[in-house]
Amino acid sequence: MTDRRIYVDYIARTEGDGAIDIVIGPNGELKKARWEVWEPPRFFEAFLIGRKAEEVPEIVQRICGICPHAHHIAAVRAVERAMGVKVSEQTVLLRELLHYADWIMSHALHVYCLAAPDFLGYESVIAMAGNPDLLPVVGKALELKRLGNDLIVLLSGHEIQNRTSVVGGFTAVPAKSDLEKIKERLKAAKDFAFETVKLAAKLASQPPYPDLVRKCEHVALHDVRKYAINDGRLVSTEGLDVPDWEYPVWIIEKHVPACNCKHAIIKGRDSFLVGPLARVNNNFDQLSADAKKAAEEVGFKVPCFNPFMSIVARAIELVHSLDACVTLIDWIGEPKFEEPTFEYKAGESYAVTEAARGICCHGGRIDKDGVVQKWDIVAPTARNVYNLEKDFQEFVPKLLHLSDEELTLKCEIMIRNYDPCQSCATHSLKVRLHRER
Amino acid sequence: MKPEVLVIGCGNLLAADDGVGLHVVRSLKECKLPDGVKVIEAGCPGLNLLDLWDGVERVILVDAVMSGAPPGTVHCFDTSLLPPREVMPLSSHGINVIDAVELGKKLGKLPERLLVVGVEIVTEEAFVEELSPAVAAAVPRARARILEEIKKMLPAG
Repeated sequence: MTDRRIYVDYIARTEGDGAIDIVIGPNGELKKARWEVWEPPRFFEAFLIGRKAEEVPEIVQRICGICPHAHHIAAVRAVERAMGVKVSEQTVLLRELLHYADWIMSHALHVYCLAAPDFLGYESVIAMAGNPDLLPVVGKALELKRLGNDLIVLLSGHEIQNRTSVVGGFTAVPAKSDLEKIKERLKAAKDFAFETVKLAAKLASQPPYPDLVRKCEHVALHDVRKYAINDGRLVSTEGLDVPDWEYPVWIIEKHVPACNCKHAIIKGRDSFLVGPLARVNNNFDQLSADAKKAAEEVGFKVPCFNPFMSIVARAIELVHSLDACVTLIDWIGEPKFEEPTFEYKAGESYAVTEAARGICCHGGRIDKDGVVQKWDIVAPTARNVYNLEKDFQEFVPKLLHLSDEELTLKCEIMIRNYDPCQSCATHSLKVRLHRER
Repeated sequence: MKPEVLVIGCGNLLAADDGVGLHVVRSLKECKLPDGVKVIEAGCPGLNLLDLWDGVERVILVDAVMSGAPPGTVHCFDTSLLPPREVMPLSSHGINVIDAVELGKKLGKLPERLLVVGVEIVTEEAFVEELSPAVAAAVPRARARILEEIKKMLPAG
């Protein structure tokens, strides 16, 4: 008797290195279903100790090239909270605009370059662009991604890491005329975002995906006044509702063997999901009118517990992000330069933001001279690893009729549903499928 | 104003020889360059390459190469001669330079002239900032080659 084993090392089209290892016994029982995050730990939390508080937001954005602003804004807010620094309304709005620009870039990249090739059966977006029908779509997707990047550059002075947002505010603000120009591009991109929702819904409606539903707790930031991205309470589909700074009290983490990424559970309960699907499930009412309309048009209903629908949620958030940016630009009006100021004060606090792939938490303790005594960082993928393994446990037994090759691809799609960023998550892509025959 | 010639250095300075493209363009910046030449340190730009060279007609990409040639060999080739994806290590995650060039070709977003100046490397060990001796010794040679190619690319006079 031999086991059937699916093993994928170096999962493509995700950030960082990890592997999938699945072992199926002779009677179809699942003996092992692991997502091993290999990406080496990078010890950010350790080397932040002894740094000055204002350096933390500057350093932590270097954790990731895809969601630097999620890390930066969580850290800057945690520092400001710990030291009791108040920032202006303009700063709050500019940070939101910066983070939405990051979502546009990241979501356009994920939907078209990382996820769509899976669903359409292409090895990569390059192979996908080989299809003359899909080539113009790829071109438009890259333009949308570019739009996100251009807005990031305008606000932050850099393609990836921001150079302007600091503890206390912004060291430089964009000109109104430049914001107005980009606003026209944001409006013009809406049609393509609507098309993206339709495409995503079509992809996720192919069998077997609609049948792969697994109810689990979905966790997101929530704000009654607006779609939460940089601030809000931590809520869930199972009734969690706590201030974001209480994050470490409610989310418990543990180390597991063969994985550089910790597993996370909600205190007293089990694994949970974060990311666009969790956000849309918890915050549907706060989406822009057009984003809700796009959801309705494709028959997307909340709550939705099908992780393969994450691509649809991501596309709905693209529509919302474009609308949100336009609104924010209107609210900001003519940006005025305000000198960022702060004073050192001893304190301890946490803050949570919604990275494109889910909640991102930073926080720690600062002494009276502004020196960091302790710093915790929890990236979204770290929260999703354990939940993904539960997806494997639920879905792999339903897909045993597939060939090893097809089953492997489905497992990879299950991982990419989470748009994982393994580089961020380490503190791990290979799929290894092993079936006993 | 779009530059006449754009030199783009790629690589990761924290992965030993992988960063050689950046070492080369940094040393290039110390030279007196003709007007109309712009040098960018792009790191691991992925698909952003298509945006970086948007509207520029002549581009030189400087990067690390692993082809089996002796370490420090300076390669210079047109993108029509680009090796298959797995030969060049390039970006640490996801989309590498070869992918960007292939996609650019399909989208009609390649510069008229796209030259790769590559340096054969030994190691991509993470968290190492120094180049291997053979690769470090190749930096001035790669720089000289780029200067020569810039001269050929710029219109006479």
